[in-house]
Amino acid sequence: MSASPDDSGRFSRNALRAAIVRKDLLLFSRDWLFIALTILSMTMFVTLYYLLPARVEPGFELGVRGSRLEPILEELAGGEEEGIPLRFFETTDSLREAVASAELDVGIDFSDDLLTAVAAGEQVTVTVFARSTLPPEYRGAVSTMVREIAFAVAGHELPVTEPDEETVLVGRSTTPVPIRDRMRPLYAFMVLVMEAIGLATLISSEVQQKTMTALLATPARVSDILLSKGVLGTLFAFGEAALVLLLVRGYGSDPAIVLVALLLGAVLVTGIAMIAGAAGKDLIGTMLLGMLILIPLVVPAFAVLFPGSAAVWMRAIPSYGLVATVLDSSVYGVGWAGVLPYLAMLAGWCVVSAFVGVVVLKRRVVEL
Amino acid sequence: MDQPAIAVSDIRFAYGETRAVNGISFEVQPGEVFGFLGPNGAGKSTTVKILTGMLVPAGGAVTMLGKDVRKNRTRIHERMGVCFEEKNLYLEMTARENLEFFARLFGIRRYDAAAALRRVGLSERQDDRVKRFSKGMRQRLMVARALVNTPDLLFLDEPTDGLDPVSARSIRAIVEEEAARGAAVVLTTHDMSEADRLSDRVAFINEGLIVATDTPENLKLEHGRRSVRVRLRSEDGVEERVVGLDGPEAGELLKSVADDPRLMTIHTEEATLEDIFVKLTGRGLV
Repeated sequence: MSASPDDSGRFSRNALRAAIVRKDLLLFSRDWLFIALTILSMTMFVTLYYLLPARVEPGFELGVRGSRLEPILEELAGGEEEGIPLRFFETTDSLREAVASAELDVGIDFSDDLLTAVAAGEQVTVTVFARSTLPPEYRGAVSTMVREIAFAVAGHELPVTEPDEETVLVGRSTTPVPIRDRMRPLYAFMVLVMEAIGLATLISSEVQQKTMTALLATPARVSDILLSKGVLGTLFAFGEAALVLLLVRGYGSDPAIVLVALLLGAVLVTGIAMIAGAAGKDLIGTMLLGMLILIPLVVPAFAVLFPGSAAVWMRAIPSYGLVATVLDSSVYGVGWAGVLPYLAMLAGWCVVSAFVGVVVLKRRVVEL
Repeated sequence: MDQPAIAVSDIRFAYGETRAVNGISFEVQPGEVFGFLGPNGAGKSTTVKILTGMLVPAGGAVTMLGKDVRKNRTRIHERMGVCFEEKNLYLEMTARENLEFFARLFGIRRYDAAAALRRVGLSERQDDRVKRFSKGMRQRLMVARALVNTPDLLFLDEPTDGLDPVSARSIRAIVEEEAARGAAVVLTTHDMSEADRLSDRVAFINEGLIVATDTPENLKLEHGRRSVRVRLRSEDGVEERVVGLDGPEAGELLKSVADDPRLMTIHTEEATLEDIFVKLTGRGLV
């Protein structure tokens, strides 16, 4: 009846790992809830992409920074309903960043001592940030606006001198980017997150149901199990994220850059899935833990939707490298040299995530 | 005597400050069924985990099939089958898929799952997912899984747990067949009658130590009291007496009972393994 093991006299560890991968694929294919959620979310992301406008409507939005000037500026802008949309900024840097990222057309930075300097008859400098693609007529309007403001502040006309034009900002692009294109990193990362949760629950059920113990009573080693699950999880996450980006035309001019970023992102979330799968006390606990770890990682993907909102600390979030690479490559056409620091950062986090994941899962398996 | 299939020498293991196994030694020969008996927390599960490679002992040595377990884990596991107490099967897979998967882990290319399932009475349900199986059916599948690689070392933890009498009998028959084939069987159970029926030798384990090892018969002879229980008709109904078989007057006493016209039945009375365990350790098995 049963054949003897080891027919050839040599044990194939790769065949053993392949058997575990096949088994996990079979279990994935029978998890209808997981399959339905995956298909639904992927369809939703792609549909959303095509529903959102493909180009940015032309308009003029003005950003201003200047303490105690809000009432004067609001009046000059013509009010909220009919006039020029006006946004106030707290700092010069945030104003500069908003123009650089094409969120605003023009930013006017009034110095803090403007009122006292004008009252004392001293010369003051007003800095205007403008996109290079701003039409000439808009430049004229801005110049007029500055004169009007000077008149309103001083109570009489002041001699306004326009300095030579100076390029003070270099952004990735001077063309406004539609929000649907800025959402590409978000689509990709959300798919990776979903796959990570799926893998975490698979690992968790293996631990909870103690099938892991049964595996370890065979020639399979802990390293075989971890490698099999790691490879399957990474390929699954990578494959789905790659498909979604293909459907939303997210590969830009150099698809290899985006593919490398997605592969590293898949390794990152697989490590996290191992941590959540091993540390969660039950299925719900695993999902909650997974969400708890993964939600902060989505922050950079949301931040790129609102240019100017990305703070410096956000670069420390492990997923920042993935988001920055996908955005810069697919939207702004940045090449390898430009994204290399991001990819290096992401690769570093991958090593940390995979190492911690393997250690936590290995410890849990040994405790069984 | 042949080289022992399992040789355990002075193994020790502690969970933190708690000593679970405190210097255990025993041997199991090929073709022998070795019953491992003890209450919960006595150290038998830890011992079996050490033998199956789940735990590494803090001291001592374990040799299986002539090889050091620590240095030859894969080689030994290729020839080992384990039936766990927990029904750790893949519930979303069918019975056949479960067995075929484990066969592949052992590197078996042509595995006859249908025959294996027929042996444990599950051939009709081979393509049903295990989540639809009863506790008893899962237990039978666990036994079938432990035999996938035709093991030389077979570890069975409560193998008839949850089985009806007919199924339990068929599993006991399989254990005997495996031992007859030459497999060394380590049986862990709370069911003393089952251990008595199946085991060639038993070991009592208590507080991390083996307190006695021998054949069930020898243990009963050594630690039990030979006696017969006699039932006699009386004016009030039935009178019961226990007549000892040891001592110089035992023969005459037994003859007088046999000649008594009121005699209804006479049964041998022997100590059970549980009685002996209680006697040796001062505690029960559960």
